[in-house]
Amino acid sequence: MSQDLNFFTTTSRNSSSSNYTNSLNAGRSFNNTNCFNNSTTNNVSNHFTVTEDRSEMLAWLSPLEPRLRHQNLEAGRVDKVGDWLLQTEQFRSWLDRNSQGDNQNATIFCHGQSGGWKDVYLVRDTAPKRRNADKDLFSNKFPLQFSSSRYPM
Amino acid sequence: MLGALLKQVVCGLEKIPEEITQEFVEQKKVIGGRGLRLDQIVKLLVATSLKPTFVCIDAMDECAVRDRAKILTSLGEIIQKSPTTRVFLTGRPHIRGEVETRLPRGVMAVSVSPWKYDIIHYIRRRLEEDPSPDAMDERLESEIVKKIPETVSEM
Repeated sequence: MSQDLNFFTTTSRNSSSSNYTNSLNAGRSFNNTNCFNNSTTNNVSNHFTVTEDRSEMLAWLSPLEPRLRHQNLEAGRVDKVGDWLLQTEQFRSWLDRNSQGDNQNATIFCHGQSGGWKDVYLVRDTAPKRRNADKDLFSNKFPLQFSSSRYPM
Repeated sequence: MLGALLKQVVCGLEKIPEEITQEFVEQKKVIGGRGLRLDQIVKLLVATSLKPTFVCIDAMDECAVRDRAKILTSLGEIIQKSPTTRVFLTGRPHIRGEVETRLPRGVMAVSVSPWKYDIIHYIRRRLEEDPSPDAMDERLESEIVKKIPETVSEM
């Protein structure tokens, strides 16, 4: 199941050309420490794709480096903070509907006043839970982390 | 920003999709090169989101108004065309109407306000990591743990 999910995060801060883009990642590349190191050398048309072309193409798609950004954020994460959000009926409903292919409530919008704390609540990842996969509620659905664009401290 | 999302999707693929490779080759012919257009990015995000995909965007309210409209509309288009894609957004409450208008297939709103327990826990953990713990006596520490949550709850 965890192989079949994509989970991508970013932030809109400072407009569409933001430098605050964070996090990754898609199933199969999850264990790569850096997705740009992917050594795939499959050939495609135009005689084009070898490893360096892949890197060049990725850089062309976006100059931002979400993986590095995410690693920095993860380093400052505090366990348990924000867990309550994952237990709310709304969040569970949003998550479950997805797995059931339900066509409603595709979006969850978490709103709060300024002060940075709503972001801290999003600094919640599943890293420890990946190590205890069987015990965890979300491990099957959320193989990947999510985090905020910033911290208040 | 949507280009960065596409980059994340592509990073997870074994092989870069043909459409992207072709476009990359084409743009190289132009002096100085050029990036993908927004409509191309949206199309590619839809095409590459065959597996259940979660898109998370933080601080949506801090995006410039015009860009925000474009991004929300594009996200709307993506979730309309890709039924397995879900969106997780954060932002201040004033953009709620805009989010609900531009995104199809239902928006659930959750009010996120600071929980005192979370704040205290966060502060304690940060204080534990203080590289020079001797510089702070117990009184100062307890004052920090007391005052910061009070300040936050007033916001």
